[in-house]
Amino acid sequence: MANRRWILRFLGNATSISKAKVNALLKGNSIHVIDMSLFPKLLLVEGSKEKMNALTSHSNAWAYSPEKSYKVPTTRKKL
Amino acid sequence: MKIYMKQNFILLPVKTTHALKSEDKSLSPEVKNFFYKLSSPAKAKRLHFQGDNKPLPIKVLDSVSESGAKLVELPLDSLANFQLSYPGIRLVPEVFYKKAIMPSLPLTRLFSAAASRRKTTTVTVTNEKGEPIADASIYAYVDYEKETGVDGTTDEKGKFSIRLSKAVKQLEVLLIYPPHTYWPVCLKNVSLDEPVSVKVRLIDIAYDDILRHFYKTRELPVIRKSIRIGIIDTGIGPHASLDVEGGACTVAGERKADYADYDNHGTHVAGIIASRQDPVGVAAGAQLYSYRVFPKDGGDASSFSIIKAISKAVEDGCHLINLSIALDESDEATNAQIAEAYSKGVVCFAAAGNDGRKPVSYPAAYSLAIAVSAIGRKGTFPPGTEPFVDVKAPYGKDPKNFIAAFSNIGHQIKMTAPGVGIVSCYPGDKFQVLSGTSMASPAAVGIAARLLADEGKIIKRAANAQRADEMIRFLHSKLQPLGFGARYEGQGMLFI
Repeated sequence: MANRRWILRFLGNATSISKAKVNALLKGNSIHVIDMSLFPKLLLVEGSKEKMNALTSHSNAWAYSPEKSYKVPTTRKKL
Repeated sequence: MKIYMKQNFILLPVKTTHALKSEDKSLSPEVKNFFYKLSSPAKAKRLHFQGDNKPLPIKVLDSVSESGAKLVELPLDSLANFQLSYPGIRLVPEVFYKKAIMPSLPLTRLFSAAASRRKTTTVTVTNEKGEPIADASIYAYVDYEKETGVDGTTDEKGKFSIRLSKAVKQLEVLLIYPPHTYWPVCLKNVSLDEPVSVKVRLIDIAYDDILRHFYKTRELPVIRKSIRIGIIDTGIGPHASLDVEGGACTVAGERKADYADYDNHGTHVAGIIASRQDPVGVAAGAQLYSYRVFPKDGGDASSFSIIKAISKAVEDGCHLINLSIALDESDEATNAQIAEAYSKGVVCFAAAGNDGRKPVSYPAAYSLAIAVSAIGRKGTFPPGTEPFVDVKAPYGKDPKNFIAAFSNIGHQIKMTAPGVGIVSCYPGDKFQVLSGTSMASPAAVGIAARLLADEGKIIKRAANAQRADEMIRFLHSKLQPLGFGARYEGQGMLFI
């Protein structure tokens, strides 16, 4: 299954997790961290949907949704 | 006989799924009280809209528990009034899932002709002095509604060659967008038998466009710096009329401190709000914060960049956030961050989208965002300019007003604002005319900022959901309907 980018949201008590533990957890699930600047609440990661499911199925503390791309809205009709 | 369309919605507090036993201390007493009243049919009957005694036409169909999410039926025409009367409540349409089946393939539109059956017509674009206009975008429509034709840009001599089948005798619409400084042009029924020469008109920065028709910005006092607005866009400036107090670039791999504009969109949006000189913005004096989420190279903005920008704007103390961005599907992560901002007292305004009366785009369609449609007005743009293609029914109580043809509409629209033929800033101390709900949203944000700047009791209170609730209730009281109906204008337009 192809890898894609996901936004991983931590829903639990954010003071109780460490970067090292999260990194190890993600690495163990073959999920690659792209951006940790909003750690601990949010992470941008890359991995397959199966791996993301596996990560989140054992814990209610994590939720994930796909990264999406926004455009500047234009009024010009396409040709 | 008038028919009122109804729809089922799930009502939820801002962040949690329960109101009465919520652990979320930022939940306002009004929201808790609302859920409490809904759990009793007798008490629910006593709920009414803000500002009048009309009973709330809400029917509770089901409930997860006494304090939990409610399934309710609401008339669509009263949706904006409900959300502005009872802010801080997420309204999620009840949806029904279908079996996954293969969608039909989209049709491919072909528009070509063999070289032997083609003819070339040259379009030359110059200014009033006869100087060529290079890099003007050309859209030559054979059929405007079906979106068939050719497009491209003018060369350094201001020329563009239209190559079409000899069978095509004329263009239905020819649109020309100079990069800046000049008004975009609209020509109709253009013959292709002769070369086409077009002179573009210089932008007069003191021109009374629709924004300055409704809001006399030059005569308005500079507002107190007490209100702070975050603009999440392509960046801002540099422009001599714009003071940017701070911000960040949240694009992965780009320098955080580089929040200047490498496009033009964010600068135009910022000018609508806070340009200090002509064309003066609606909230000149407000503190502007720039959050650049679009990459320098012109690519799309990642939802993660947007989330980071919303988070930073909240951290920087913004009261209002403008999101002139659009996506045609819901985005759970961005929605969640808008809810997070709301719980910290920050209200996000968003452009309804420009797909031509299609459903409201996201994030505007998210129930905790303020979705803004675009209004235009005949007589506020010069003859032969591009805004003429945006004129479309319905017209308002004043027949000169119309909801722009490009504007998306729906029951998520909470208000409308000027968005057709808006003169504003372009990076490098230049000016540009743009149309779009991208322009309407900052117009609404700017007027909201102007109105709220004098309401110290609201904006100086603790930054939590109750502050956001109060801001919305206060703005609701300043909306006036213009006669288009709720799907087009929500509860109307903000007036000072």
